[in-house]
Amino acid sequence: MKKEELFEEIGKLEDDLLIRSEQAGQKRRRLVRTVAKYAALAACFVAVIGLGMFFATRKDAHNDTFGSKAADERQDYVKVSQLLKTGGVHDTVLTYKILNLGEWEAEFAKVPAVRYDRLEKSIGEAVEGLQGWYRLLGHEDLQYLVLEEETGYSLWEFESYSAEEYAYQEVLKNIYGIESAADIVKIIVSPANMDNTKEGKKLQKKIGTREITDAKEIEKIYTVLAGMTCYGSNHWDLIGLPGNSAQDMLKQVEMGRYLTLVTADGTEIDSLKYTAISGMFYEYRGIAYNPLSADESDAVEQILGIK
Amino acid sequence: MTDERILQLFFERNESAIKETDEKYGRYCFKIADNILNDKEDAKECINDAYLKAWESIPPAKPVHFKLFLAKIVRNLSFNRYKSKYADKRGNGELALVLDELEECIAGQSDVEDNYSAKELKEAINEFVRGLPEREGNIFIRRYFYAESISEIAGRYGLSDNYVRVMLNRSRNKLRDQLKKEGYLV
Repeated sequence: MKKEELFEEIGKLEDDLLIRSEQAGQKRRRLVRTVAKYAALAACFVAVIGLGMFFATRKDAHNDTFGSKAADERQDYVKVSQLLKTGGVHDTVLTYKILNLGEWEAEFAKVPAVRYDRLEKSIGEAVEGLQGWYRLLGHEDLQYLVLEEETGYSLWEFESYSAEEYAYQEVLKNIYGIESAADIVKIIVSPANMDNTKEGKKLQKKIGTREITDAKEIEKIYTVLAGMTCYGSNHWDLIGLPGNSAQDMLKQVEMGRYLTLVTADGTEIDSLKYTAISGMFYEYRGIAYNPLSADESDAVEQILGIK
Repeated sequence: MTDERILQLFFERNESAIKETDEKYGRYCFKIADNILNDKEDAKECINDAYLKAWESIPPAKPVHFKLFLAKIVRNLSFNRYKSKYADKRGNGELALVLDELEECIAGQSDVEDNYSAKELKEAINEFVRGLPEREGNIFIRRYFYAESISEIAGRYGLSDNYVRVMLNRSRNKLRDQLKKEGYLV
């Protein structure tokens, strides 16, 4: 077969497929006009559901780090897990702010379930050039920031840069303060927990949580992460996870892992997820990264313990 | 004028059918031809040939989707012209890139003797596109049927150029796997 023949055969695509490809673009233009009307209402609705899932997911990750005595004993350093309320229903909207951080604009999401009595005692240094914004006490990173307003303090978490694409190395360096593999002391690898059926939990238990402390393995993961391009949020189709059937969900658990990078100063970055289904990292809200090369995904999957 | 009325003019052998077709679909057809030929004069000639072909075909043909009927004629004629213009050498413009990308799907197979029927391959490709997630399928069609540029496709669907590139790369890999699995590639 020649490439010309393949092009000719594609020319015989059936009409309904061609019509669909035209209508999708038209639908989008109509949608942009309509969405503006209902955006606020939709955002509130999505937020209530989305945050429930968000904190259900994060609670597990944070549970692993709660009770870390060494960190608790440090009076000058606030562990984020100490500020988060766990359990209960948090009826709130998902709120974002775009902050100008030097050469990048970054999206921060408001963290709703916060222990405000502790938050007001956790204010660190002011963020340069941003009136009313502070780091957490003892932190140099920008993963979580505190906003001081007349109504009180609120906690905000970095989500992504406001750009169509950017090098993840910029985030590692500018937001998390990770400039080399040496800044990471440990990577906690947890099972993907999207399937909470009996079978799903059984599989998660079988996979278990493990810690990567080997310098060579950390170096490899860092090199892969630092070389990635991020495409921002709402790209679930790019991430390519399968559907919601029982079999698909089990497959997502089997082929997925959640990562928590722990830095030397105690910062924990627990937003990265990996799926061997499409060989790529992704995050909550459909934040997608480029698919890894075959060599990269082989190495990552070996380290993460995905068969 | 509605497509039905234009087709009626064809059936009446009324030559204004060509004028009405050009008025309604001239720009659309020109875009397809120009994507493939990257030459405005050649594209115009192809469109005139396409109108003539439509005139000769209707009747007896009575296309259900007149616009797509024209699109397919224009695409075929434009590609035939492209092939004769660039016989044995690499062409230029978007189509040269499109063909290079398609070559990835059949890497190393150009010299292998074909023993499949065109009808089966057509069905396999239709089935392949149907099996893709809708957005991915649409992007595939815009690139490999209409030979649109990456940035045009990105603009059409409100995506970044890189996103479209990644999607296309993924689709080509899937197509290569499917062609291999179904025995079209050795």
